[in-house]
Amino acid sequence: MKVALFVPCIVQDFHPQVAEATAMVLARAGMDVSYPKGQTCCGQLQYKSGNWKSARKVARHFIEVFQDSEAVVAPSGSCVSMVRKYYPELFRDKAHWRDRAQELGKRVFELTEFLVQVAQVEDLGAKWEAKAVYHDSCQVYRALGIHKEPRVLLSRVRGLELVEMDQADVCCGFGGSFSLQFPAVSEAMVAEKVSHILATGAELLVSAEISCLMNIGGYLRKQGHRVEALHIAELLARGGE
Amino acid sequence: MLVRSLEFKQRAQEALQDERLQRNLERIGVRFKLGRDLAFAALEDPEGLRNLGRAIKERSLANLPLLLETLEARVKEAGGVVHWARNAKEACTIVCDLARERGVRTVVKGKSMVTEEIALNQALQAQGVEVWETDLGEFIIQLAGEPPSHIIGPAVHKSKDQIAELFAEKLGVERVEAPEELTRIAREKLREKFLGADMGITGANAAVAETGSIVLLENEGNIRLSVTLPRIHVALVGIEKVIPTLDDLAVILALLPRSATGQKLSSYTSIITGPRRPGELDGPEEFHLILLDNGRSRILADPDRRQSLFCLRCGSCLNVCPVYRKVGGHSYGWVYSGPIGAVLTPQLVPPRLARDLPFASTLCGACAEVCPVKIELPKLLLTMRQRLTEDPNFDGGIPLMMRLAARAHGWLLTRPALYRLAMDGARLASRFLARDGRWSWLPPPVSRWASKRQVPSLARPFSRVWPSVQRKLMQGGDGS
Amino acid sequence: MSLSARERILSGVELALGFPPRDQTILAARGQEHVPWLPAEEPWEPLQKELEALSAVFHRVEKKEQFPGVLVGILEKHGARSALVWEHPLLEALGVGGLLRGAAVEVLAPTGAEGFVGQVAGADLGITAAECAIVESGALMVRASQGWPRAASLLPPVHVAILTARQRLRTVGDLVPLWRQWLSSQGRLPSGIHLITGPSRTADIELTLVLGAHGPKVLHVVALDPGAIPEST
Repeated sequence: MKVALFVPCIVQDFHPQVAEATAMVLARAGMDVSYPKGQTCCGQLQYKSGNWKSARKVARHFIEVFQDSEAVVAPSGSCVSMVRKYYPELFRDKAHWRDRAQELGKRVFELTEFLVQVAQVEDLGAKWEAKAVYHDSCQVYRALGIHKEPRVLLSRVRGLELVEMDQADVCCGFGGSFSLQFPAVSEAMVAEKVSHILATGAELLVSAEISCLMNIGGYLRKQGHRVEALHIAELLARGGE
Repeated sequence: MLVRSLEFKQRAQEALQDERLQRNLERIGVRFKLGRDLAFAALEDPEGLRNLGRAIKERSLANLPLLLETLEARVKEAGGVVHWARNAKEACTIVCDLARERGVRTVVKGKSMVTEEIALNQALQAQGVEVWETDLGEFIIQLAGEPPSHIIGPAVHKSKDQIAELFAEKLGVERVEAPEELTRIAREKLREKFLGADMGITGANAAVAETGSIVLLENEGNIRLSVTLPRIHVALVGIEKVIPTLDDLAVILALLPRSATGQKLSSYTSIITGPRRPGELDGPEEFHLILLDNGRSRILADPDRRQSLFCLRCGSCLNVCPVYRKVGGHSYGWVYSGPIGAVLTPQLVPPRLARDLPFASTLCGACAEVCPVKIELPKLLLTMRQRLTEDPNFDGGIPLMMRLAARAHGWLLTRPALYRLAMDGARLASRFLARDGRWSWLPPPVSRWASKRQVPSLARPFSRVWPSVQRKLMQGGDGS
Repeated sequence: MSLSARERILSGVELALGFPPRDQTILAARGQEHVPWLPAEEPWEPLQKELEALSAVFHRVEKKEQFPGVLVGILEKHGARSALVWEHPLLEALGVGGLLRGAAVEVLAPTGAEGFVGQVAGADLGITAAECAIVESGALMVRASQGWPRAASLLPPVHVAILTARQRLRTVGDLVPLWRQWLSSQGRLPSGIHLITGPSRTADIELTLVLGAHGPKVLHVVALDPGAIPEST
């Protein structure tokens, strides 16, 4: 099956290794991976800040870039929910674009949902000896309803001990511009999330959302904690045959 | 009530530093959320019930004129008087005039958000009427001169020793700290007031058009006392509270207490239909229903925002909101707080005064999961952001720089080559500004972000790494 | 007055769409008034469990002869010296007035609405009948009427409600047909209907549960088995 990689803008320029890992994992699952040029971003920053006119322009560009792709996979719940849930909203009054958006929405997947539900592969031969905790990021869990897929994939990683933290599904406090506009509140929220992580004794924090990882991982590192923050793609890409 | 929503950030900052408040907020979060979850889990079909709730609200609002007129007719048949108030001023005038005409000197009040919306207490006090809040939490904050901090528990931000201090000071009683003792003091003090009051003022949780009844839920009994002992009962009800029939009431009664406090039913559910009937020994001699618009018909006019009016005022969105649980109700600066407060406030007060509220959310969606009438709160928050940013009717006063920055960024995103150029430029600049992944300078507000979190440095973009990745994939190896 | 076909059709349509029918008699015609009373032989346990979880006190009376002992026991437990009692056929048939006087408890008998509240404000106990009980939630329904003052279940610190085995419904939804019966027979609902679910409570002070905030602190429910219900009621 041909799969087009959709690389979130943060991954593109700050964490390209996540995109590389995503490509590897999809290939290992038997997919024929491509990377459509000209892709930049899903437009959620414009949309969530209330600049919908601008968001529509970015969305139209996105729709055109991916219009011929059989399936589009991104290592990000927020980007996928933007396309699937919010593009049709953005184009509510423009039938032509709304139809294209709805049609595209059916072909766009978050990585773990794609692996488990579409590719129907749960074991990627990954190996990583560590005690890990998984953070249910809001856009993956609530916006897309993805809760067990990442855990299923993680349960097949050889050597990985997966533990659950308290309040795993409570927001980490990033919220995009929220963390810049309301820094004190955001910091209080991430500090609480980190206290739950530390309480598990896990060495590894895993998430399917790069922005949460940037937020929580950035905080962990700055505060000097030894917990490593990894995207699930990076974890799954390791160590298999 | 005065709008102080522009003080959100400062107030939030103070709230974050208030350890006692933080502990209380955590307890509300845990206790009420758990209670709500258990109550709903025990239902046969919780989702079905929520769907019914939403359907009732949709149907009610779609047929509001008919329902309001039917309600009015039935209330009149039951011997009540119906008044219509377009705004806060008209509503206060109606109550004040009535109080003056009837020689009212003392008023006892049940907890009512709508009366805070219109600042009714101050209007009455200005003409020399004594107004006593009788809900224990409201009584406490009235003595303290503070606004409520939570829809269900208005005084949850206060500790028992703060309350003990307050009672000793304001009521001239011996200082005691046990909640039972403090409650007993309030009971005795307010019992005097109930017995001597001329008028009882309440809101209503619902108004049933079929029967001309208003419905009042409570746990303490202060509302029942307010509608039983004084000779006049005035009920202020937002027009969006009307529901068609008794069947609809049964659904609301199944949803509201479970959502608010995890109870199957509140201690007292009162269904009031007009004043006392001839021959009855107690109950008010006069019943006045004031139907209040105060901005609601304008919200109704916008189909995207209409569901803001579905709210049952249960407080469950507050209890699960990770932001509310850190900043508390006072941060929102007005009557309604939490997710619904962030949505309603800029629609009920001049938008400029509350423009930050819809942005004070991470859009995590926890609120929508628990709303008993399935209000799509994240969607409303996003809609409000758009209205405040782009809709001239909603002039939110969002700084031009912010709008231009978002649009400029969007412009770049539709021009891949230019975007790449800009990011390459940023990466080049970062070589001078960052070493070993640590930045020596960042523009605010990123610098604030960076003070608590390590900021990643700009890397070689994936689009340039792709060719080598592609080669690895083609070699049949997958990097392992 | 017989209604025209036009009025009846419009009422039917309104009812069907979930709106208040302009003609309430259609409710009876459409069977909206069948009240699903639980059989009198249904065990008390589920209701008892709910009531006790609410901190209400449950007394079961299996035989007529047991009633006086139960009532006097409640009076003694609270050291009651005065009581506000409803003028209700069930209470009269049970001889409540006589039992109170026999226990030296003053039965407050207000002379009318004027000054009523002042006369009864000091009552130690309020005794009422209940219209019915809801098993699912442990709620009791009382309604306001002549001789049935609201104050009796509200002002005194103790409320005693007497309920028979024939007056139980499963859920709040089951109350709707009963209310509709009242609507179509009286033309309107009583001026006050109160669902009482346990004693008064508050958690406004640091989320600590305290009973008896403004309403009664103690609720006694005296449940009469079929064998204890006086014939005349």
